[in-house]
Amino acid sequence: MTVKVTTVEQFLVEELKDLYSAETQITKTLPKLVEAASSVELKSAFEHHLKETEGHVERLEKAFKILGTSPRGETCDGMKGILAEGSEMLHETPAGDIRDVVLISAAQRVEHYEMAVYGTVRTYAEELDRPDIAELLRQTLEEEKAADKKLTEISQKVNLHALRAA
Amino acid sequence: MKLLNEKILDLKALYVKELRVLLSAEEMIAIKTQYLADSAADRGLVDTLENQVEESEARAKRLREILQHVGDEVQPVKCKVVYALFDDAEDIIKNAEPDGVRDAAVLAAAQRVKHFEIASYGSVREFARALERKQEAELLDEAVYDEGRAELALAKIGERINPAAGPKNSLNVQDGDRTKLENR
Repeated sequence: MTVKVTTVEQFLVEELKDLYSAETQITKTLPKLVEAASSVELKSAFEHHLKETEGHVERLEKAFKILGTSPRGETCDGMKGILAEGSEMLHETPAGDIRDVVLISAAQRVEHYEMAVYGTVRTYAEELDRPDIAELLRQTLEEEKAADKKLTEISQKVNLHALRAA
Repeated sequence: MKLLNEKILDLKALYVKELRVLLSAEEMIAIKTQYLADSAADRGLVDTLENQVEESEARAKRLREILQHVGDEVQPVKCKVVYALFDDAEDIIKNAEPDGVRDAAVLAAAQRVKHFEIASYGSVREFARALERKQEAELLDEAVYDEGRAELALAKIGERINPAAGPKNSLNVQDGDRTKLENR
């Protein structure tokens, strides 16, 4: 990035672009996670989250429309790193319980990244007196938190399986 | 790096691998959190981040001890995520001014890092529990708790220092918003 960021509103736009790039990367990756998962519950959790993520992209597009700017022009390197590391781990594990554990742990890193960013941008949107945008961000934040919780629930079943299989 | 494509076949191997990645992450976080502290202007934010440097160093030491105790490989494995997070962060921080906006960028970066650690320590804690490595699970649980507490401290600072909060800081807000603030 070469643009100077001199106002909080500009910073908010930069963060929203970061999120837009992250969410777009996630929509492309989730179908691969569905394929890679063995547990039926995990597969369906990823499928469900893919639909939600498409909704997150739409909400961000709405926010950009309200702000009168374009969502393009940023690559979220953080998300790229999370997905690259997850994919590497994935290729080091055989399909089955152990791979499911890796998938869950990578997916939870994705959720936490998003929780961090949606959390901060929602605060800034509120402070900038943009309740319409803050509400869009709040809805997504809630879904990300729920997705993380769901993954924890599934992991508690899968982990022990992986142990027994070893 | 095909040559290093060691297969992870069981939970213990995964546990060790994740601990080694986390060790690399924590060592890098200690260094880069100091950079964040050096970039921040707000005294409270600087102090909080400097405390977090020490906490990161202590956790890195603890991870080394855990790895030594497990007794397999103990060398760190480069954590690409943390490098990427800080690349993104440095990009925005070096282009952000005045201080209030830069502090917002520093804070956003620090919160991303904390969330990454909450998730990572959460995973390895679950692995330790499933492997019935109780003492290690307890230490890792403490780390999850500490990271959560650190994240909360940052979130509270975010509410306090938000440069857009209130007309006195309206210089940081674009024209349209300044009018809105003044018309209140």
